[in-house]
Amino acid sequence: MRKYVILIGVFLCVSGSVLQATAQPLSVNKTQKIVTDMVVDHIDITTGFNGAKFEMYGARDVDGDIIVVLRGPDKDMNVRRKEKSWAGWRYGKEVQFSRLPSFYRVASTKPLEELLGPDTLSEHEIGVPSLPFLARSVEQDNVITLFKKALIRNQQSKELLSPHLTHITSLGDRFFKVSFYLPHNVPVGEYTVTVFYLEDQKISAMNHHDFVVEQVGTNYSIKMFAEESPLLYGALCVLLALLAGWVSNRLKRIL
Amino acid sequence: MQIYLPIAEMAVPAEQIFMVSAFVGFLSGALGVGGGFLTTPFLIFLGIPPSVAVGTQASQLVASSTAGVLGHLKRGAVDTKIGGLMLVGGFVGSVNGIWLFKVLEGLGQIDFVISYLYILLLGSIGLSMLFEIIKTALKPQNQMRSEFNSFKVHPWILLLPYKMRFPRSKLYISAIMPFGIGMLGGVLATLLGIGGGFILVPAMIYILGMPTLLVAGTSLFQMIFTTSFAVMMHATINQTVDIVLAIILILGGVLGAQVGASISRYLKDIWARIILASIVILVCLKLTLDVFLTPEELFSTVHLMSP
Repeated sequence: MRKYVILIGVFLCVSGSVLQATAQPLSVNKTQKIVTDMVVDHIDITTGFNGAKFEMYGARDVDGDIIVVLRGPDKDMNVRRKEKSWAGWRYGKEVQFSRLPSFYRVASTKPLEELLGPDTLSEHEIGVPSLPFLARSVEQDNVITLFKKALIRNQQSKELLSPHLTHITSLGDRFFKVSFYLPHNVPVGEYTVTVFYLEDQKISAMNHHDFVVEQVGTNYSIKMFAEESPLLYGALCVLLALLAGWVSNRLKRIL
Repeated sequence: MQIYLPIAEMAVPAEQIFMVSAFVGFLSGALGVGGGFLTTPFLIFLGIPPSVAVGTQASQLVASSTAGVLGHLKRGAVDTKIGGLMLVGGFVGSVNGIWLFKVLEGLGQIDFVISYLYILLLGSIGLSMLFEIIKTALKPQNQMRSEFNSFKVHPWILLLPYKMRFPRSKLYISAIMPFGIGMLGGVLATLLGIGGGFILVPAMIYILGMPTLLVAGTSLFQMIFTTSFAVMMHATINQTVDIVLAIILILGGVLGAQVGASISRYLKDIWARIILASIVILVCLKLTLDVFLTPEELFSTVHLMSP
């Protein structure tokens, strides 16, 4: 329902600007080259949460291309390697990388290399290869590369990172829609969505949106209770278990 | 059905966890074993962080030991004095176990240590059970639980200081031993999420020389306090007790125990033991293979706290 309201909103907004544009000579006074909005600004994690879809609608000038970057909260990441020892495989060497997005997706109308030069891509951290993999520990380059590749592989297998571009669906000439799938293990926290509008291999407009992924309802209350009064929470768990044990004993006698 | 765990912050297949805990409850109903040794590795297989698996499993142990001890208490088959000393030891052991857990976690070796301890534990339990099964199959004998323990404890145990009288068990032994055994139980509960009955019961029979009739009740009695204390410690220090997961585990356990108890009347003891021994050995083999076979993915990535 909300989706349509926003869609209509976007439509009115764009048609308004189109009308204005037709009234005046074209290509004059086009301040807004792209309009975008999210369907929701929060992803709620409830007890039944098993992944969610994040959707965004927008309208653009016809001839430009679009890139959308979705980023989860930045985290330091620790990559560990199992090594063989007499006692079996165990964790040995580890390399830490600082400040990488815990969740990352890119959507684009064309392959990234066709749209922007490598410098611009890495300046805005667009695309997995352009993310700044800064190792904290001092290691040889080939070791760092090995661990960096492993990090990408690990994150990819958990669906937290994807080297593939998400499709941008065109709804007519101007309207478009992007939807990202957030898996059940999606990290909680503040997310950002940046929309780049490109003309002649240059970024000519940029839109920025924020949204939150967080636990709500019962889940949120439990989490808060466990964090704020751990002693009471622990006591509740124990009491519950004692009660269940007692009930179990009673049942055994009845049955 | 997927259920999102608020503390573990991930979705898990609730019916699978329920089935496993019901099965474990069934075993405990039919055989009187705790079964924590099966649940914790299973939770870790599912991808639940070891700290949450162990911390939450402890609350399931509270429930199963409470259910178990009530019958023993009614029959007067609990030596509360030895149990009391053991639970004081259990508290000390829990504190040490939690500390050890934190240290190992910091070193990034907790998964490895847990796997290893489980392999050792399950391997020795499985083999000794198998040995016992073969022995009874060859020479059937009546196992009578008695008020006396005919086993002669080692003389050096009798030489230890701080001797105390334990009228219920008809023992005059050093207080250090029950304390020490309880401490071991506390370490096992906090580090591995098991009650440790498998280890405590033989220790009480062979090291303390307790009457076999009293060991099960007494070990369950002290386990309630030790595991409750472990839950409190995990909840306050590590914040790794997931109440939603605990409820699934406890419900499954309670239900399974009922089925197990009613089936145990029809199931021949020897068959129940064979089933349990084979499960223990299978889990042990699986864990051993995981440690020794070349893993498909050598690397793993963990997200650290936000910078």
